[in-house]
Amino acid sequence: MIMLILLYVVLVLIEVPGFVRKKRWRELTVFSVLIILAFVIGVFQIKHIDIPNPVRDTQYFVKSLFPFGYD
Amino acid sequence: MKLEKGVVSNTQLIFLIMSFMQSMIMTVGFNYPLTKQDTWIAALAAFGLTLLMVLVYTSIAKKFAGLNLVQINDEVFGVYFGKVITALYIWFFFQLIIHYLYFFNSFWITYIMPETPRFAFLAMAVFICAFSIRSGIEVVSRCYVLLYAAVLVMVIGVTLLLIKDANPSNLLPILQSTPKDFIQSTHIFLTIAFCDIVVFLMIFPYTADNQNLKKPVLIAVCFSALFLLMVIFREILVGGARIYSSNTPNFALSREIDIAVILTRLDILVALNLFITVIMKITIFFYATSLSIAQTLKLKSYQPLLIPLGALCVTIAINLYPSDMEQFYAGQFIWPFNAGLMEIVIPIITLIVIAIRKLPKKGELSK
Repeated sequence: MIMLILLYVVLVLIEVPGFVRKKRWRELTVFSVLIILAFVIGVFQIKHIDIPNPVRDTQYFVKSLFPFGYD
Repeated sequence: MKLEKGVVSNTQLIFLIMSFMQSMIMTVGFNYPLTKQDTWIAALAAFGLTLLMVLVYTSIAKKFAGLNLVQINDEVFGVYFGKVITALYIWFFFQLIIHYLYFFNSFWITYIMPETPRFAFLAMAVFICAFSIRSGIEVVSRCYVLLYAAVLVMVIGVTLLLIKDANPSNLLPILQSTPKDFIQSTHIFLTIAFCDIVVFLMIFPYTADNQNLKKPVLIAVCFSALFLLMVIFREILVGGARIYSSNTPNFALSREIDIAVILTRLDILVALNLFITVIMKITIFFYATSLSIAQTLKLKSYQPLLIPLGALCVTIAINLYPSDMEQFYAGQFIWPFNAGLMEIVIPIITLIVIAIRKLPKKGELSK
């Protein structure tokens, strides 16, 4: 857990000062949204809480839209 | 405003597409359980259909020369519905990154380094990809020529070493598979191995001569298909019925190499091979994902997205499937539909809409 937080602190420190210096708030917003999402999923995985995997489940969803299949 | 300033020459484009399609020799494992010794016929059928799809892609790119996929969607489907299509494409490219990461990671952990935590390989692979596209597509296309040459030498070398064990009777009986299996196998080849090149609609506008794209793309696809056929024939002729149930036939076969007991255990070469090909593939998808997100949200550059996207990829890819067999099942039965929608249905709809609306309207593209 501590390692995860440290890792993300390093990732944020690499990029964010550059945005603030150049006043790129749009980039900063997108960056923060994505990195918070990644951090939250990472915490869930470290705590072994089962959350549905979006990538795995959307392909099953798209497949269910088709009226035919190979099974 | 242009997000990418590099220019890819058409020769580099050929090598870029060939190195991108190289990983098809690793995903052949999905097809063997279905069509067994007729797999090469399915590959040929898929190749024929791919040529048609290449014409679709290149004619879209030629109509809107200088625009990438995001801008094309905006032009064709209007500002709002175009954004929906773009979002679907971004999600599709992102899914492909995750699937290839998981594929490569589970292979490496099962066969080469079983004790290593999953996080290690994913983080390193994503780091390499993010680092290489930070400097732009021009640098990537220049240095991947070298990696492509390395893969080429490895694959041809393994083939030459195995050729003495070939047994032509493994090809018989010919045309034994049922029509359903044959169609499914062709579908898998078409969507997983070949039609991934829809992602190059993000790269075509940055080529030097984007009016004549048909020739380089067709050359690259033909060479890749030739290469794929060579690998399939090698596996069927040498391995025969033993490899039809393996999900990494390439790797299983390379353990057979035995030249006078001296030249053995060359399987690590194939493992490296898989590493390089998957890295090349992920790099392109990573580039397309970050570039299209930056383009849609009107950012000034795509570089700021690389770190958070990489972190997201690693966290999602770590436990994509509960087991490798589920990925095998999904690759055979689920993914071809998902990919077929984005790679075949939507480009054809785009082309039809272009024809109906008589796009591009004169004077509109110049702005």
